Amino acid sequence: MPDRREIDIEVMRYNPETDSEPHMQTFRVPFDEDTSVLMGLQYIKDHLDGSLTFRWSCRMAVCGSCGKMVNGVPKLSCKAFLRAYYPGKLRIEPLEHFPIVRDLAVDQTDFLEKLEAVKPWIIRKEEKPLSEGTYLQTPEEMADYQQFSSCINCLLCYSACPQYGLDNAFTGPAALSLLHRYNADSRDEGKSERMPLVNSEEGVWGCTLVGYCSEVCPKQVDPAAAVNRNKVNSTMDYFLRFLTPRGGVDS
Amino acid sequence: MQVVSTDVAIIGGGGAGLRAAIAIAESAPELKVSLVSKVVPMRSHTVAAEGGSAGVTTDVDTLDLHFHDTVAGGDWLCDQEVVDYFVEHCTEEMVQLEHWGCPWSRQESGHTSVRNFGGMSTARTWFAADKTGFHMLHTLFQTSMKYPSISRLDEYFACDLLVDDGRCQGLLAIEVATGDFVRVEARAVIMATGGAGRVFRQNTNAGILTGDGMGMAYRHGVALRDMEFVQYHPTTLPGSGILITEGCRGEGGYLTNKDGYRYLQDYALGPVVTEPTPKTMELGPRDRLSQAFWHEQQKGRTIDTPLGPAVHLELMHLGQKKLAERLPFIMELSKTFLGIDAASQAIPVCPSVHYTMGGIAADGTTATALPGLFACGECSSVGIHGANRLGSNSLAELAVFGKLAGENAAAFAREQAPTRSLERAASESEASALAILSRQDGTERLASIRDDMTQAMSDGIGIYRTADGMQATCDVLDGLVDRLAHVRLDDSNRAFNTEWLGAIELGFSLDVARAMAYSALNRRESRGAHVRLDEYDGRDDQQFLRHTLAVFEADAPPRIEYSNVNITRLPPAERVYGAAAKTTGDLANA
Amino acid sequence: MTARNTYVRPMTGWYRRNPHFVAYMLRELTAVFLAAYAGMLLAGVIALSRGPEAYAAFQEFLASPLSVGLHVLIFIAAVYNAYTWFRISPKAMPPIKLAGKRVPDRVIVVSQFAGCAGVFIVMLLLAGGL
Repeated sequence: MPDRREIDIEVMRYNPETDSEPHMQTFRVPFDEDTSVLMGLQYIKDHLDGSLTFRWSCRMAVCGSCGKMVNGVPKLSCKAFLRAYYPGKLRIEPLEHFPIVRDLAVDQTDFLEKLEAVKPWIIRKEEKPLSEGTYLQTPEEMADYQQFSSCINCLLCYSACPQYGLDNAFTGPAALSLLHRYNADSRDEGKSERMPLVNSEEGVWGCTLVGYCSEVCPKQVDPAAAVNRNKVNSTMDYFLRFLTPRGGVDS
Repeated sequence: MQVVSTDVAIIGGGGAGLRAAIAIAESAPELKVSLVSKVVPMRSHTVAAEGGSAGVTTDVDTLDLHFHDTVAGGDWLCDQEVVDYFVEHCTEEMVQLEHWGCPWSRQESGHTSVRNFGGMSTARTWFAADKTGFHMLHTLFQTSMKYPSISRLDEYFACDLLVDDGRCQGLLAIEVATGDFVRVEARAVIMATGGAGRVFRQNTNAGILTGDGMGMAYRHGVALRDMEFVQYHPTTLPGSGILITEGCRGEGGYLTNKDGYRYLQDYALGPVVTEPTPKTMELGPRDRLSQAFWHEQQKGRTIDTPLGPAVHLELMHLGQKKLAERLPFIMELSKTFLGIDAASQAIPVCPSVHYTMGGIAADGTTATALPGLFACGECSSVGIHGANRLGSNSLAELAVFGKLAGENAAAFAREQAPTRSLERAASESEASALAILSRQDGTERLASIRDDMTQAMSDGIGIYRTADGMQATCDVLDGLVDRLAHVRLDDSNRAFNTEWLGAIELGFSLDVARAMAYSALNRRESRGAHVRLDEYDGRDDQQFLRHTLAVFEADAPPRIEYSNVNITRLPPAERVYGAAAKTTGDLANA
Repeated sequence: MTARNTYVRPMTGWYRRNPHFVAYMLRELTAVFLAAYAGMLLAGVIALSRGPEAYAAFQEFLASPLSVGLHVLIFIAAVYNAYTWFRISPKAMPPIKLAGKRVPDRVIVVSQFAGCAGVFIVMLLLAGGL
């Protein structure tokens, strides 16, 4: 390769079996125009230190596995390229606001619990039999939720959210986006089941609209919009409860 | 050792595994389901499927046509009763996914849309823009959360099946975060671990597709069937192999060589058409298109890119609006990985390994020869893809056969007495996995063995093959098995040791690679995706209208056997596309 | 997953780590100035209720250099506060549709600034006319 250059990658290391806190380690990695940050890490693992630990899978920015802090910014490491940082160096850390399991791998259990808590499935009062075919949904109705259904669960938004970092009881951007995705789907009738979570302190009111989640989202989901639209919904829900006998936005 | 006791254990949390889990939860809510996956399910590679999923819906389409396309597309190596079952159940599954919330692309009327796909007689591919697999996977994953009987073992690496009394009764897994072993005892096990494209150098597959499930079943005596049939997808990015969906061509994209010439007209795929036309030009089947690329390369008519030869996929004439609506992910991928705007520039593409048509031999009910073990999805060979899979049949397959595997495994589990003690089998497996970790005298670097394997596979088991080339690959692979026994790891910790798990994976990969290479070497004919340049360059129904079975032999290459193909109503005929396909299509209609 | 001995990084000084967080903290800080202005108005009302002398004293204070400086500061803070909220307001409102199409975020943001400028001009005209 004619344009083969080298760059320093500083990586956070943490071994739960031997370390009490993380430390940084620097590796020199060759790269060219097409070398992603992920490929840089793979080079280290294959050739320099097989114990470097990080998650990755699809290499094409859709599985959501490979999120890392790259020079302090949450990024999909398959979608960021070493050339963009040269001649400077890279500092790669595990995603912020999550406990570190080892090196660059974080514990994502908390997110999975939050995802389940928003009831991310279609809730119907009555199921339509399959023999009757699909539900009708116009492209216009689809547009109400489509962007929120594009979330790949990469967790970059959680790393961009200081409120989640300060108090991880907050349900957080991605899970609330998916909550909104189902509430906004014309086929769904489960809004009233999800409103208690929306209304709670852990729900949308934990958000102070820092807005950075939407900046870092690699799929333009705009979680800040999902969360803050639900502040309106939550407020409406609060008042409607006084005005209607059964209460809530669903009635 | 921790023990998890369950009724049905599923290995693999992709589309097939999740569909199976839901089928069990719905058909037998009293049964406990354990979904074991080495990644959190939504990371599974179903996520990367782009173009769509087949299901007959339009007025001009029929089940017969889908059957005919599939069997002819598979060069008659499909089991026709199973294909019949498959085409009858595709649409129902697409509707089911819609009910669960899958955002299928819609017409103005609110009905779901279908698009054209390669080798299909008419538009029958359901799609969610160009992120169909992503949406199907997330729909299934999120829906699976509503069933209390499904418990997930996320990031548990299955390393062996536990077989006792001639019956598969569970599995041994390593909890990735801690390195602890877990014995999962079950009355039935479903294998749904996906493909094995990572045994090749340039492929569209995620890093996790190392053939673990195939390897596990194979080592326990279940044959791997038709492994020589490896699909090269004709449109992927040079170097990385990142998938550029067939949907691009379904929407009307052109393939051109360095002279801007639509070269497919030279390969019995013409006449040249400007609108997407079934089975014609860019909508020919994948094997034929990849072969055409190879010929263009031989003729020196491909384009040189820094990452290898390519042809051009032109989408420019489709217009910004259509591209944004139908192919937004392709636009994003072109921007990110090539720095180009596909609305104004052609995308350089070339073939890469994409799909394993073969897999764990299973019958049309997903049952394998090992009682208690079921297989579905890409890791399985239930008999629908034959020698070449048609695009959009695999997403449909994981839904149709995932559900069937779930229901049949549940029925099987109900009949079984509680599992016996599997302690001994589990301890033996544990010891052999730990031996890799504690080996001190090794000299071989893991990555170097892996790279030599992928290079040998790409060299010998390519789009076109020769006896010498395949033999050379077999020889290299045999040597690599010994080298893997002398691997030395940098990492001796238990917690999240991905190097250790990588070494176990590579063991599976090597077994699968050998099954592929030896199966290919022994098929002395050309059919579908297995095409030879030597004297066996034609199809030989007399000798080889048969499934290949690779049977595991400890410390030796696989034993190659053959079994009959189930042919019911469509006798073997010549496989034709382009102008010649018109008459065949009419026949199928009759 | 039941990882053992995980490491949780401290949040100390988080607001300095990223320009976005600095901007966010500045935005929150401007609220203090807005509160100060509200206090000022309240003081005026109280002064008015206490009679003409008290109100005259209040007006005198308003004309003092200290008060003018404070008002300039408050004005800058208020404009910055408005700017940040206008910028993110499309995120906080339900999507607005015109002829079945979603109004783009940019249009919403720009129309808010335009509306604000319009009100400002009307106020100036009114004040000039009186």
